[in-house]
Amino acid sequence: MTFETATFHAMGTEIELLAAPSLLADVVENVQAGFEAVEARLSRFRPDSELSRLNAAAGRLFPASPLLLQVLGEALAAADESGGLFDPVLLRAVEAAGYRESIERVRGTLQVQTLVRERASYRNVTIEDGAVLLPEGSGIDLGGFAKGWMVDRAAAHMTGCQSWVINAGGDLLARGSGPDGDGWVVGIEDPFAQGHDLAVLRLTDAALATSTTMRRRWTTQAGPAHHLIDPRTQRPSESDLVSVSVVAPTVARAEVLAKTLLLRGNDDALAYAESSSLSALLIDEQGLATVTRGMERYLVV
Amino acid sequence: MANRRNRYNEARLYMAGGSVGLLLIIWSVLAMKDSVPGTAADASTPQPTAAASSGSIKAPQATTKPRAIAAPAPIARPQTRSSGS
Repeated sequence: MTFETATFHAMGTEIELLAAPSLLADVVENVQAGFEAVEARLSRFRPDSELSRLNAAAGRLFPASPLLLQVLGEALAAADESGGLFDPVLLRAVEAAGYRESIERVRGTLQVQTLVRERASYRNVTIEDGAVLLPEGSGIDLGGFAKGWMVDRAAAHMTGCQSWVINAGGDLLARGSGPDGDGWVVGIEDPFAQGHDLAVLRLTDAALATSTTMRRRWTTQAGPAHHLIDPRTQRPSESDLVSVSVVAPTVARAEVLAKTLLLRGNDDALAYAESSSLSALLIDEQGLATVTRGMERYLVV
Repeated sequence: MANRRNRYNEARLYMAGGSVGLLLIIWSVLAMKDSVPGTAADASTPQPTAAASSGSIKAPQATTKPRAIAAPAPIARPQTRSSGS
């Protein structure tokens, strides 16, 4: 059986829709409108976004929209569940590492790394009566989490499609059994060889996210840097893992797990993933890939 | 006279026996030749059955049942990719 695809750009990445046997035009329009609405409200790169206004109001109570309250509330809950390894209150640390503008601009020029003046954590954020209070000097970056959250929500717009995939820059949700009835065939890109797959999975009714330190990179006066900040050091992670992929029921959960496993480092990540029955593929800085027992059932090659 | 007749009969017996022996030798040689495998036109070797007018040669007909060989599993071609963020 065949399938149709459509792509558009939103939230700083390429969004790809696949549907079998056909993709309806109004579905694409609705999904795109949903991504654009979330980006307009939650992008830290837009000075007029609600998130930018919240960050500018740190230290003061900020009345927030239901969308911001929803996404921020889920992000704080995920941070708590991760024991703080995932933390959306790391904006100042990301900026201090040199990631102050969109990645296209950051890559093009030498960035200056600075020190983080005050450490902030998700534990210091208060949500009360529809308003948010951030610690003074802190800021929130919902980037990857908001993107995954939106993929999960976009499922509601896929009505009329029998089987489909929404792929937002590698974080994807697969529904149904794919064009051939045995699952959607998804490649996991080799972090050391762009355009080549290190593994291929078959996914049916599952989400997949990959977190890597090899894509969003730039150069600073102190050397190369990347966007994955370790909350424990407030600096770009020095983990011996360079890429982690996780299969989970939702994209938001897969995204958080992929990020926190990477921060743990190879040995700890593998032990934690196995003890928690996670489906993960870990790639270390030598290019060695390890899969957990839970991931084996998805592997094609 | 009787002695000469005996010699004559003896000679006939020798001739008859020699003929039978010769026939046996010829039969043995022919039998041995049939039992040696041929090289140029061995019946067990498949031969092109005909040449078509276009000049192509038909595939030889198999004389034994082909052994079943499991085809390698096709490598699935990814329909999309997780490149990491």
